[in-house]
Amino acid sequence: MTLGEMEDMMDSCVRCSKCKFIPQLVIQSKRFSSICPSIDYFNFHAYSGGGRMITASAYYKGRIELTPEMLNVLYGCTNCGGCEVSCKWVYELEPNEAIHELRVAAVEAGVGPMLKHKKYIELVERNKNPYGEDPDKRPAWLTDDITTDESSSTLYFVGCTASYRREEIAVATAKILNSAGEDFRLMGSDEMCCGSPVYRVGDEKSAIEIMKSNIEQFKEAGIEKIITSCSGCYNMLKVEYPRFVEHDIEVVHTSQIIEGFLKDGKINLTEKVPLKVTYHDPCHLGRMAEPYIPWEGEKIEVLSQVYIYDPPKPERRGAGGVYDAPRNVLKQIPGLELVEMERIREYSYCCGAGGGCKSAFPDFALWASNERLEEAESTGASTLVSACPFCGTNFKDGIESRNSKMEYFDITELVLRSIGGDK
Amino acid sequence: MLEKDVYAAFKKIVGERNISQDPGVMDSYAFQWCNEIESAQRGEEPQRFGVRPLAVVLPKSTEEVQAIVRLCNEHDVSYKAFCTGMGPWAGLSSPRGIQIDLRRMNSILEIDEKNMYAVIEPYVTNAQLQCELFRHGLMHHAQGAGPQTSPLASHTSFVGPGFTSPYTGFSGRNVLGVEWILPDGEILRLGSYDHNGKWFTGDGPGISLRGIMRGWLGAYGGLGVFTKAAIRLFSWPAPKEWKWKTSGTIPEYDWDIPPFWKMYVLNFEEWEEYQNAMYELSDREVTMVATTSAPEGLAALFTNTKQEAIESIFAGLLAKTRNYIVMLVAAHTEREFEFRTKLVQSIMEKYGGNDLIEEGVTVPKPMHYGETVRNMLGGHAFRFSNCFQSTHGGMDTIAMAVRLAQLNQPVKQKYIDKGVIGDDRGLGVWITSYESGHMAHMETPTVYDPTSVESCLGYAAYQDECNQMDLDEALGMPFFIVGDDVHNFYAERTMNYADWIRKIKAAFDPNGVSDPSHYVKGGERKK
Amino acid sequence: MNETQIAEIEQILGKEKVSNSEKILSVYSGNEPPSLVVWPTCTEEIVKLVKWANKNSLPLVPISSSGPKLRGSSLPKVKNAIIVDLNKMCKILRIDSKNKVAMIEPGVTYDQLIPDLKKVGLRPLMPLLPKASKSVLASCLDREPITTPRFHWDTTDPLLCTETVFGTGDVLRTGAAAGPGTLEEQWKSGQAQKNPQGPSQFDPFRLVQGSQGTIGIVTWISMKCEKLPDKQLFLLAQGDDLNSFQEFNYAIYRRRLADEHFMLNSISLKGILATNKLYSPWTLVIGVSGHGMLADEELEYRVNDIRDIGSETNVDLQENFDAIRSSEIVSILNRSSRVPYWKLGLAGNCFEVMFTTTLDRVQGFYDTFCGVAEECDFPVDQIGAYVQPMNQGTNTHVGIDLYYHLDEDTESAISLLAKGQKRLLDEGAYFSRPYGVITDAVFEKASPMTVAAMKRVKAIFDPNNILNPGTLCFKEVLQ
Ligand SMILES: Cc1cc2nc3c(=O)[nH]c(=O)nc-3n(C[C@H](O)[C@H](O)[C@@H](O)COP(=O)(O)OP(=O)(O)OC[C@H]3O[C@@H](n4cnc5c(N)ncnc54)[C@H](O)[C@@H]3O)c2cc1C
Ligand code: SF4
Ligand code: SF4
Repeated sequence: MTLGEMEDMMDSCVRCSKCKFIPQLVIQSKRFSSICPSIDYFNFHAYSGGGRMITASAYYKGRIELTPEMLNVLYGCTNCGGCEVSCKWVYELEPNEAIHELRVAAVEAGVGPMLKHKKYIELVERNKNPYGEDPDKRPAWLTDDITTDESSSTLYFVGCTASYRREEIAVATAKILNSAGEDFRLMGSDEMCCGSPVYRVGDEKSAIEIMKSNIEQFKEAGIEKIITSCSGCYNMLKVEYPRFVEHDIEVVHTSQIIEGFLKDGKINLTEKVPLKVTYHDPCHLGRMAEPYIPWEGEKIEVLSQVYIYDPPKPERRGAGGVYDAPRNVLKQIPGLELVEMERIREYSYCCGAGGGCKSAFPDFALWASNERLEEAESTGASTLVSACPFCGTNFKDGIESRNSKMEYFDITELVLRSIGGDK
Repeated sequence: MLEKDVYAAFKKIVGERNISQDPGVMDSYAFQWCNEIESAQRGEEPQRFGVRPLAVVLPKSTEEVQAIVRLCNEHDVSYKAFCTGMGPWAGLSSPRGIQIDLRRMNSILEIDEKNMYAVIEPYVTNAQLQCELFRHGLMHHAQGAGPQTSPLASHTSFVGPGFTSPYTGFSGRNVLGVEWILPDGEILRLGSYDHNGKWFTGDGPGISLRGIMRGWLGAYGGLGVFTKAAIRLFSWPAPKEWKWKTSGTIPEYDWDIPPFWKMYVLNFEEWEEYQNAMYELSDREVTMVATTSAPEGLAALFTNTKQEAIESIFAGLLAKTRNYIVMLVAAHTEREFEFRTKLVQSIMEKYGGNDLIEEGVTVPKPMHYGETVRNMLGGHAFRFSNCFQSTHGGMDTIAMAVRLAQLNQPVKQKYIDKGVIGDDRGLGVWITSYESGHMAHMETPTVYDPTSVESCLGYAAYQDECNQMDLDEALGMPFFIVGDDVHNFYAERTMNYADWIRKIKAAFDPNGVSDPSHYVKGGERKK
Repeated sequence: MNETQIAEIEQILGKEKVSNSEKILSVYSGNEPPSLVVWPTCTEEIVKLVKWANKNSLPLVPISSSGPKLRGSSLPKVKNAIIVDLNKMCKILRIDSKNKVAMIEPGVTYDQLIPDLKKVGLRPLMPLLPKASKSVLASCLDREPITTPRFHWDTTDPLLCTETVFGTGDVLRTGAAAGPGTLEEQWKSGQAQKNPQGPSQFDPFRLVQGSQGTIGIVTWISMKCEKLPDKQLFLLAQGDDLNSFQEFNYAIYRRRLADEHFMLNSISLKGILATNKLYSPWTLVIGVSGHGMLADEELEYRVNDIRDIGSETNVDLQENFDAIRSSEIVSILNRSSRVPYWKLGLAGNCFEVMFTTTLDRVQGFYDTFCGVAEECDFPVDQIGAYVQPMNQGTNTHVGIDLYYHLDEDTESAISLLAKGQKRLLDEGAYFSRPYGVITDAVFEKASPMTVAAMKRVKAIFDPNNILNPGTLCFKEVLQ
């Protein structure tokens, strides 16, 4: 949808500020009542989901220009989708979609994305990863004791962050797959960034190029199923790719496949992991992970001024995210106690890294991770667990910055421990 | 644009991060729900963008607010403060104005459990305050605008009906000590707070300056800035061990209903019986909630999506629903519960009513109990069209509220027939009683399409006709008779009250810089 | 006052409503004797009078009650005052049982109002044993606390709407009564002048109330009433110390189970009941009621829940104790005092001290005051105390009476009145209704902005300082 197509929707914002908070019914304390790291940090209304939607409308109407400060507004947002979950409790509005469209428009107008984004996009195009690392070193994490099967139609799509920054996740994932007897292959140095960092900052054209070439590559390799250990990759392949490139490849996240292994008895969690942990729902595995189902139909006025959609429009309210799989896995790890934070599932608080913030607004990203860490600490847990290397990186930085006693692990690391695979 | 040196002076007060004059950022403040109606009423093209502030500042403390206000006085800059900033009244009317966004002042300063009051800063929200109060077995009066809005805004500055009004009253009547930056930058502290730093009353010594603070409707930000307020609290009828607990996934959450709670939707065939029952139920203090809306409204109350609401309408809800009262018996003890439920039953029978919940016409789930006390039900009305606004609003007796509802129906129907407003067969009202039935108010929430010029103009015309009707039939003053133009329209038949407000404004805002939108202009500006 | 002026007033009111006879003037004499007393009988007359006073720069002191004046607020503090005695305006204008409201003129007394209300099943929200000649309207305007805190939602209760002639001579009906429409039109539309707030964006009734006649002259008010109980039961408790009731009281406030709820010390109780019995230092009174359908069951549930709270908080609740029976308490409620006023019964004279605080601090203030009494050689057994929760328990009125004999302890009473109040003030007692000697100290303690704001208000509604000058902080003529 273009900004033009969204105009009526954007103008229907009530400016009620519900999008600054988790759904009101689930608020349990003042401290952990907000959902939007951006408004929490920057404070001007424009830095909320609704506020950005208003500025998007103002821009579309030609009322404003994309000044450097507007770029801050536009990109000082992790695109976490929290605003949209809360808004949709009542309204049929999609602030997060509007934010994305404004980013697209900004790029089209030649103003966006921000310098840091442009730089990493260049790197992605040149080095296949936003870190500017050598593409040949992509599989450097691979250890001898890991078996891959290059003829497999199942691909472990490692992703840039696990490949270059959180290698332990890649290792854990691969070892778990081995241990379950699940054949898989890697793309090795041919693996290209999923396009998430490019797409999220509105460079849709480049992102679509990446998507297309990736899908082509997968198809050429006969891939039928992709496993990702990264929520960002998962979201791209599962949700965003189908909006632009058709594919019928099954996409599963490590938490889901491990849940399946446990159910089928393919792995056994035998080793005790005596930790009190709390689990952080990555946005892109949670509320943003609902499949996008294109809708075509009619808007019918059933009562005066009241319209419904025929056939009913699929609702994307965050209910269909991957919430239970990681929890089911954690709960089965012997010795491990799972305690919940106040903000969980579709109303989880973003780690602060997404949407291009980690590179363009490192202070903000770090601050947001501190916010979340404080919540994690308040549960009494010693360990924060999540299922996304990108969240993990930001949390580790946060832990360091606040001298927290908390430890961070990816879910795969704990599973690997419990199956005794870390020895 | 503000002059460079003036902007720099504001920046010096709040710091670089907390001031902006970027047009885009400013537009996120200029945009307000219902601006389209007000612009239509002024004969302009209906639109949501109103006056764009020259700057927005985000102060952190009373001292900063005071410095900002003083600077405004010095440089002839208008200002308007707000908490959430929801609604056109939070916006400016003066083109040379700034907005004071109080978002960063958000602490709960004190909860006096024994004496039942809380001292709050502007941007503590209703839901946030509630969470902290429940731990003390207390609750506050939250205005119906929603859990995300500010109780300080409501108590000090803006109207104040809520869903628990029979039990918790009206915002304007629950204010105790207050800290208030007057339009000229002086700090006024009301009542005992000025006297000994304790907040337990806002009145005296001698006269009560609450008399100029807000009146019934509030000064809508037109008379300075409130930086702290103490508000009365009420007993939260749940056992000590009870905790606010939810589970599940949107939109189907579960919520733990406290032990002695029961919801009713008592339905009465005729207004007469309804009225008698409303009097008796309110007087007998059996219910925390006594709310009436249209049958269409009932469809939206206890459902989670528009689809569900419409389905329940097509399942025949309308045919079985007449004049109803949504009630929540929320007792502290089993004994209290048994007495109250028995009395409710007797009153229902006495006036020939039936319980629509008992009959399965509408079925509140546990989460709807939670939504009721979290003050979320009003928001459900938005599910139909993303937009409604209210007309009327007179507040006096239950009898008047009922008469207003009856007289309103044919007027509203006219506009429904024209297709410019939502069709509730003219029955859409919100009636609630206050303070055990001592007062009641009636307003008429009306669905319209904010993106359709025709619908905006149609709604605006309907509101004008309602105002005229209230004037002609002596049906109380509508909520939105605020701002010089409408004050003038009403003043002649209401003893020229507005002249007094203008004098207050002139006396307390000598430079006329506290933006008068939705309040009054005082004397002439000095400059 | 010169003859022409008197003649002009007689022209406005008629000769029979004006007097300057020495004998009559002396009844109204304060710091200064008044120069004239007038008895207007309608709003129009008052308007003319106020306008006349503005033109002639002569002060008006409105009064509604007659009889002994313990507080002196309506006694002239400046020379040449004209007393506007509203006693002759004594009609009960309207009683509306459905809407639990009465509309009354200034001269209506409780003894006049109660029976009329009773006929339609209502009772007033009223103070404890007011003097027989006390004006109901004046009591409401004075923020006199009521015995039933459960029904006390806002400080202003039971006052609702008013008709007020401001010091400018302008009339305004305050609250919803302002309109739109006349009162008759409002009644026709189902209204009953129940919403005291407004009109619109100010609350003039809050300015008139507590102003001790300095803002406007009120010609009628509407007031909140409650349904008459069909069943009633009183529970009493005794204690050496108010703090022994504290937990119980706080629990009861929350639950709103009781109607009457207050505490008396033994001296006040003795005075009220006119006995010589020995009472426990403090007596707690709890009145419970049931009305309408299921009245019995209502009473039962309320009483039982109260008893449960009593046992949880170690308060021994009884209908009767050896020294005091609840029937005796019933006999002093919902009525005015015998004549002469009960406060004069103990020693012939009485000074009143009153302030607002929270319940948890009352015992401390009381002890402080008794301490000062000892310093002043004032007999502690002549100090009465009445503790009345207000605002549904959020704050508390404390009334301390100094019963004194003329000559014998006048001096120590005067000294205690000054010193005791000052000490209370210093320790944080809030004199929300300042009268007499403490007044100046109260406004000195207030921040200058509070006083300035009050003066700005005064300048709007009584710009020439015509109304009761010298009262509260309104010492000088403004602008
Ligand atoms: C859908 C909807 C439903 C509503 N329902 C109700 C209802 O049931 N009951 C009700 O009472 N109101 C209702 N309102 C109206 C109103 O918006 C709210 O009551 C208001 O108080 C909400 O709080 P807020 O934090 O948004 O206030 P704001 O928008 O921040 O402020 C409201 C007004 O008060 C002024 N103000 C706020 N804070 C200060 C301050 N610290 N100092 C000086 N002035 C200040 C503002 O300038 C503005 O004029 C409703 C509004 C909407 C949009
Ligand atoms: S985006 Fe939605 S939740 Fe946010 S202010 Fe607008 S209407 Fe409210
Ligand atoms: S996407 Fe996340 S960070 Fe961005 S506005 Fe919405 S809630 Fe805030």
